[in-house]
Amino acid sequence: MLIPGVGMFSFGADKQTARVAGEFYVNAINVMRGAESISTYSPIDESEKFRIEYWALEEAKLQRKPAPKPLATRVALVTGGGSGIGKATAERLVAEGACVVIADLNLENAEQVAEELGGPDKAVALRADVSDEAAVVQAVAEAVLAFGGLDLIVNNAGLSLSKPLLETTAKDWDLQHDVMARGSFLVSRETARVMIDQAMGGDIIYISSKNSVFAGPNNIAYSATKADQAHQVRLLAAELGGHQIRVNGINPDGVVRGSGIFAGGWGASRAKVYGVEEENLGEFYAQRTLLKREVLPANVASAVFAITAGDLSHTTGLHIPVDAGVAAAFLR
Amino acid sequence: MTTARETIDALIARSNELGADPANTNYAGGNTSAKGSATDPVTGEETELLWVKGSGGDLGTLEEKGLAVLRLDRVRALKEVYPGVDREDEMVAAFDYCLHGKGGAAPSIDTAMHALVDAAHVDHLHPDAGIALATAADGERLTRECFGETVVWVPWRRPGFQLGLDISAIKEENPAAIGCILGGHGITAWGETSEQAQENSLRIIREATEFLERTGSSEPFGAHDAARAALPEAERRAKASALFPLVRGLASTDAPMVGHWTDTEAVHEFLASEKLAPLAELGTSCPDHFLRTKVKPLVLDLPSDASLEDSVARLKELHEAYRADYTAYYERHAEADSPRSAAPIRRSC
Repeated sequence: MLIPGVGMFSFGADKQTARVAGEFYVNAINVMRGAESISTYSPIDESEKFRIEYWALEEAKLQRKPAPKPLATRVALVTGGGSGIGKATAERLVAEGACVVIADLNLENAEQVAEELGGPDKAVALRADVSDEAAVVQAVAEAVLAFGGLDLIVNNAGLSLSKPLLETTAKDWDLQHDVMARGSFLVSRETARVMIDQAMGGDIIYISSKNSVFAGPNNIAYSATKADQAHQVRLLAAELGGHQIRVNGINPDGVVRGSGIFAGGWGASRAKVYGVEEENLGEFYAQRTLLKREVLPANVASAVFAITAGDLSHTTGLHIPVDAGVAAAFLR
Repeated sequence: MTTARETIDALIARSNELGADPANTNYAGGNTSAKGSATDPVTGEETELLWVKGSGGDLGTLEEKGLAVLRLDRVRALKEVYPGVDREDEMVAAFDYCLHGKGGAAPSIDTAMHALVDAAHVDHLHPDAGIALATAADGERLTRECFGETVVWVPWRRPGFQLGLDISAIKEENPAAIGCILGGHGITAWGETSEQAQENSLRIIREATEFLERTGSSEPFGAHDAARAALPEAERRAKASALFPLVRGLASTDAPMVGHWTDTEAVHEFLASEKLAPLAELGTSCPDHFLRTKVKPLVLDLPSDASLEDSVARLKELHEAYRADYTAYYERHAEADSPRSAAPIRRSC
């Protein structure tokens, strides 16, 4: 599609095909410029073009193409995608055929992940502070330019500062609420705008936490904001269902190995509290679960895939625990 | 005498070099070949083989496993059983019976051209400068003016066995020729060595480019219309971002699509030109293109500063008309055995 002032939009079943279709039209523009400069442009006639476009031999070649991957044609935005659960989710989404925009406070991390995932035909990186309204508006606008729109949003950006009530400062409260409750709200709002314009439906997934339902000790700020996120899931499932936008949540717990949250000293301090070596912390948590298994970022990514791949097409407003089984967090 | 290994290596190197420069051919467009001797493991004797780029893939990244390998004597023998142009598509299946060994790529529709042209090395390319001549209304005359006897005009014919016969005959009739302009399509060049073929390909492209620069008018697209010029960058990005999801939704009417935004000077020059509408209507310029894009683009007929609301409303109208137009085009030309796609618009530009 040619839009004066704006440029050319081209489309395809994947990013490479869409890009090549655009390149071919630029070839056509160069050809037309040349032909018109010395004569008039006169390509083969319509009936010959039809014979090429619908050539039985080419049709046979098209039929031989392998079946598309489960998330082919999906365009995802993963906040906090530069590390931990966000990174694992971006990896899984790309592996299953989606194009992914990786947004992170740390642009370098996001760029590293995008490069590992195969570059701009598969993944692009953006810097985004989800607590900043203008930055979210800008980031979503940029994300749209990468692949033509968005239809699979993962609200994953988050941090954890667990402290006793009397030591929790207003700043601690505000920071965690700004990033997680406010950040998710802003991202959901701006991406819903895009998905409503597209009229193609879509998914919004909140990475909440076991702590959104479980009253653990010394966790007032983090848990309260996680509960906020969990209820956003229900509210938006109700509000956006009419647009075929499904909203679901995941409640992970005990994700230690590979986690962004447990790096940088938090894991060390928890290990000290429990009297274990830091590298055994994940295993320690596993022993406290029903299934006695460690929860890894890839397990959370698997739940994201399960929600979006199609088999749960009639499910919205759900929260899936990915915690190796914690009876105190069973939902009623 | 050149060994088979040397022939293959030279062919791959030439292909990669030609394919690396976008001025020489479009992405995944064109094909190259070499004829040479190899020892037939069945008889222990030397036999003539044809190594030719197979179906699919890009010349710039071609590797040995992307080549089809055929017995030259058997491919040429197909001339005796060729049933005529109405049944030429049957010859493609016949190539499978000419293959030498296992494991090569599937032969492409251009294999006949490479086999039948009597030169050891043949390059078929889709350079913009060459196709400008190939799609010019006065293409035949201008080809003669540009190249004299060195490069000959071949009238449009759909790629296949008959086109291979046509080109081969034209080479015989024009011993001074180093290649030809294929009307409505591209160029083919040849040489007795790999270096010569490559040199001839580059020479044809260079001379076509220089001819266009030297003799071409300065405003080929007509006058510039400032009302359709590119918006300033921030505004342009904002408008692109606002429209893209909507346009993606329209393009995804039959099946979901992913999009790409091309924001280059060449595109904006074309969009702001007097001849935008009539030229866009004529569609793209090379068989490669029709296979992957739709025949012609959808053009928004509003100025650059049109409001989002007006743009959106008009795009929806145009999109509906485009789909109706496309269905009519299909019905106009479809025959009983034309492939019937599940939805009229499978790919989109």
